[in-house]
Amino acid sequence: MVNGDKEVQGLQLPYKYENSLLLYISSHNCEISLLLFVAIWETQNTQAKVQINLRCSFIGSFLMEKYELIKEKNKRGFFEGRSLITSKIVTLKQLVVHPVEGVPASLIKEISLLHELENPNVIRLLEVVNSKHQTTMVLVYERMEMDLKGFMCIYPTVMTSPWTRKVLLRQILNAVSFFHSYNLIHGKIKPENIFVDPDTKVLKVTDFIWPRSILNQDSGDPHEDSTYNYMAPEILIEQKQYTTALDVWSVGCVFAEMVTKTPLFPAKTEFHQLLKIFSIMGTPHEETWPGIDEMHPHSYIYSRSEPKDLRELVPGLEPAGIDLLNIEVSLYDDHETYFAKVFSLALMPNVNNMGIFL
Amino acid sequence: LVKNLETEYSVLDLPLQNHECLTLLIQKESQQFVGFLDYFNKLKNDNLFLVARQQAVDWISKVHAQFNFGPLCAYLSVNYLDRFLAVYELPKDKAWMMQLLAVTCLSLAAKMEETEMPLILDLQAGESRFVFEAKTIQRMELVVLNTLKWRMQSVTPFSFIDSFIGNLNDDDDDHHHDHDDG
Repeated sequence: MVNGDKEVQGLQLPYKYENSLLLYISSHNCEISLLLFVAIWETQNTQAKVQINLRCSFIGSFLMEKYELIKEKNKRGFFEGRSLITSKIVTLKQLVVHPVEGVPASLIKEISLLHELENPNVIRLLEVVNSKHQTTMVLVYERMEMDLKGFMCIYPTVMTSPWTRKVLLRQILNAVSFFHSYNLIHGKIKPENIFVDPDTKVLKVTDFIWPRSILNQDSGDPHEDSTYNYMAPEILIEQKQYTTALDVWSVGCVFAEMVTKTPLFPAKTEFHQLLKIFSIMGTPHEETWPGIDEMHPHSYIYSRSEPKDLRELVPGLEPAGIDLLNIEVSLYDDHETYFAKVFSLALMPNVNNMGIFL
Repeated sequence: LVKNLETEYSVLDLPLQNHECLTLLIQKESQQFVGFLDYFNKLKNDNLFLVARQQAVDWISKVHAQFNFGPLCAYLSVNYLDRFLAVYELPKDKAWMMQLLAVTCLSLAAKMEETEMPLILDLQAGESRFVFEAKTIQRMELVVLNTLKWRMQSVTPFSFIDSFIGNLNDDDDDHHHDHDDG
């Protein structure tokens, strides 16, 4: 048996390379992908490989009539595909439906709502396709070029321009305020959920379906290193009632990261996240955050620290940007004035003069 | 207190003026109901079909009452049923299809509107000639969702009532502000 290739029922399977494997599966049916999966299981019994191939066989079993698969996009179960009708590139995400409860109520609500909403800075859900036997469904999104994290890595020089940063920030805020105008909280604004077209700088925030209500939850997601980095303190404290302010917090974190290329509050657990936030923004007390003692009776465990100057932490950001950031990541703010302030600052006149918006 | 009221309002306010809102509602309503006229004519001319639909609606209203679902849920179920039948021809010899469709539509509507959702199996409480497995209903759910293009936020008379009430409130506000724009 040569390393890499194995014969399964007379078929030479090129499973050495993930991409070719996917291409292979997309053009064949479920049994073959299953065989392939078994073959790989036998030869390379490593967890990672199996996970990848299990996912492949999912979509492989799918026999989509309208789309062909190109490659796996990231580890969160997103695939790049092409429409066989328009030959446009799309992003695919597969969901498995629970056989007893049926389609989850939250999913029905969210998808039907998304169909009614349209915004240039929100990823559009093109359609939902069912599998042949009506057991799985695939969400078809418009193409997601590159996420903001990747964009910052690949084009570090582009990101140093204040103009680019403003252009991007303005679009993030546009998407977020759009959600908020419909009384929806996104809840998971982070660079991985924001996509940028490197040429046009058009930015699109992914919808709010995928973090929650996705049944084949990828085990990686909740433990991703960056999961907590963009979370507002009120979520970390597990306050019961959330407001739209928590999205603004996340936007602030993303904004700071666009300048410094590293997360503003890097931490790996919920506890450390709060520590980190308090060490920079100052430990909250009744005066700086009314109601904190009641919300978080154990807040005394955090060592007292005074707010630090964001100008030192985010060097290279102009004063107007610092003002904006200060508002976005302030621990407590009456969230009505919050938005008004953020928007009046984000509508910086020199940005609008560039005339490329919306 | 005044400030709070304002807060409420700006958060709940639709990003549209009221008359635009009405136009949009009417527009959406006609978009959602594909093939309404043909369907209406079919109901008028095909007596068997009319009876079958009536039975399905009766069953829905019976079970709906049993579970104490809200009025919007009932409306949505029948709306889904009609919209589905308008674009999808059920085989005439399979009477169970209509029953399956009724269960599915009620299940979907309850999922959209109700906070507490009984198990799909328990939903088949009203006396009916056919009882389906949960798996069958789940598949039918996907068929219906797909056929209706996932547009489950139907425009209903309730949406119009909400809009009219909004209009009334606006008038009240105008009086308080001594006709600012007059």
